[in-house]
Amino acid sequence: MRKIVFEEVKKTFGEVTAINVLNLSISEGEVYALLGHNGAGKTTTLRLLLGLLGPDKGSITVFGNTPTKNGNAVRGMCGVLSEDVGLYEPLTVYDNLMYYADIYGMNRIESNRRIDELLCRFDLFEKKKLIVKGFSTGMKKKVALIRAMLHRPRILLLDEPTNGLDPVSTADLRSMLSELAKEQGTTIIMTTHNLEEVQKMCDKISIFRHGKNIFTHSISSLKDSSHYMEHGQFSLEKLYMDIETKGAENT
Amino acid sequence: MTTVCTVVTYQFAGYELNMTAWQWVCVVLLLILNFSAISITGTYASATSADSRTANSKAARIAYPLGLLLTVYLSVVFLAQPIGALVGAALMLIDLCVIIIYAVKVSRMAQADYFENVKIKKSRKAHNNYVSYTTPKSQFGIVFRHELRYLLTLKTVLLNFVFLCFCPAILVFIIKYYTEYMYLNYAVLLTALMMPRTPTNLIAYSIGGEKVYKTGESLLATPLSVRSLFLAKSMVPVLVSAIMLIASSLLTLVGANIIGSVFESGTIYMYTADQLVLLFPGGIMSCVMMVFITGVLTVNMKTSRQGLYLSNVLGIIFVAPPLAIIYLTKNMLMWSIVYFVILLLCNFICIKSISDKISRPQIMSKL
Repeated sequence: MRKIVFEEVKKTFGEVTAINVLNLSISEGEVYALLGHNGAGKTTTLRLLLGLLGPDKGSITVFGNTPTKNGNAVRGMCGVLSEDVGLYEPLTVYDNLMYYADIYGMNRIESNRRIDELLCRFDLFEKKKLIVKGFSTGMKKKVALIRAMLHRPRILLLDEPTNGLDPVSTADLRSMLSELAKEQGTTIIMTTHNLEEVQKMCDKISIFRHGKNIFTHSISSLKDSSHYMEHGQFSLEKLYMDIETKGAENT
Repeated sequence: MTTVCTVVTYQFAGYELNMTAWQWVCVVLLLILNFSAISITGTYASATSADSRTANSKAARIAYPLGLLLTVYLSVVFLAQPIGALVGAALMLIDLCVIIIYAVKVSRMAQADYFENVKIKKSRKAHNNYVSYTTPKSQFGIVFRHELRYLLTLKTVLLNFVFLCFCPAILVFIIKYYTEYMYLNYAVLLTALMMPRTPTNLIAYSIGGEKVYKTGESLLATPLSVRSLFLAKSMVPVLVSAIMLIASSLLTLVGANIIGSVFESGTIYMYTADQLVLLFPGGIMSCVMMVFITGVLTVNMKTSRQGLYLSNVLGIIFVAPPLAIIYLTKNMLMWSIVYFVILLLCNFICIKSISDKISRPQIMSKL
């Protein structure tokens, strides 16, 4: 099975160690969550995966490609929702999306159809010809999400995807991501602080602390264990708080 | 400041201004009123805009016409008293009206206005401007088309550029009015001073804009090559500058020839070969050079704005070679060509080294 593998990866910015001997293995079709405190190295991990940053030590392979060497091949198969939505505000929703469709080499008929399909799905079809400036944070997030999914990427990298989304859109996004992973085998890697969302959406989690992966487990096996139950149900929040306070080994 | 500098220069040059006391009072009063009107407009624009660029564009709509009217007044203040007084009085009235209108607007502002300050025009025009649907073939083409589309949304910036195109012609006509001579060299010098500012301002929206509006990371996360991205973003300001160069030179030439045919019994004016070399190849090459300087500065400085300020100041350097060529050399054509070749070589080295060395991690570290 194809995998995304981080082996002994280290990355420093000056004197700050952002990633400290990181080991990670993500299988194709998995919905994977990277959790951790602010500055734990989650976003840096995504940037390393995309080849936007080069590792100081260690190796990274994405479905057999090295991001620093075959960067365009890796980036071509990825759809990215970055921390800042990164939309051109004086342009329309359509122009923003079409720019990226062109970059990913989609033809006009295909991209128009796909844009309409995703805009309908996110309830934004009527805003298609409006300029982005003036949209709410949630609406901008939706447009950026559509942009990430536009070219049907094999890997979807989502940095705080539900931050700013209303509950209905969050639920829609959840079902859409599950559908993408199950039906099309899309690998989804997300960073988030919303543990409830992770519990509902993800197959596997990794908890980061100071650039290290200190805990990796599948959600299904965690749910099966009798630990960390709250009101008769498994609580990821309880587990996370335990790891943060006691450390992974004690937990 | 411009007026003070002009007066001091006149005095140093040994000219007499021949202005009466009331004319001096009018000039000073108008300067104060003009400055106050522009300041209060800027204050209001800053308070009601989402960012400093929007504020600048809004304030410019008032500041440029007021500045132009002041220039008109400074030109006619030497004339017969009734005309000078009439124009001065009209201008004072306009300035006062602007001050009163904006003073009322500022005084009526509540604290909440500062938090609900973005007024958005939800126009459909931006999309209607989208003309062609043909698929571009290259990555360079994709980015270039996107940059042009983005540029079309910056209507105030474009309007300012149109206004700038008239400046060399206006300068030549004013000099002609006072000295009876038509010096096209002044148009060439003003163009050399003015043109490098055009790409500087546009780079603020393209390369600098990616940093300010945080669109760079999303773009770098695509398979777009960094080289195509950088070159396409650089070429749009150069294209706009080239169009402006042609437009402003043509305007100057057409205007000079109209004056020549009407008032000088059919005198025909044409740029000399050295002026043409300084204007076009030299002008375009200095714009390309300025694009690289601004691009590197906006990306490398702590904030993009610092880079823009610095490159705006550095832009003044480009007037020195044409100035030296026009006033210090005997063979202007040869030195104009030498200047062009030096700029060409510098640009070639810049393009080569940037496109060879530039990498994603390098750009990411600057974003």
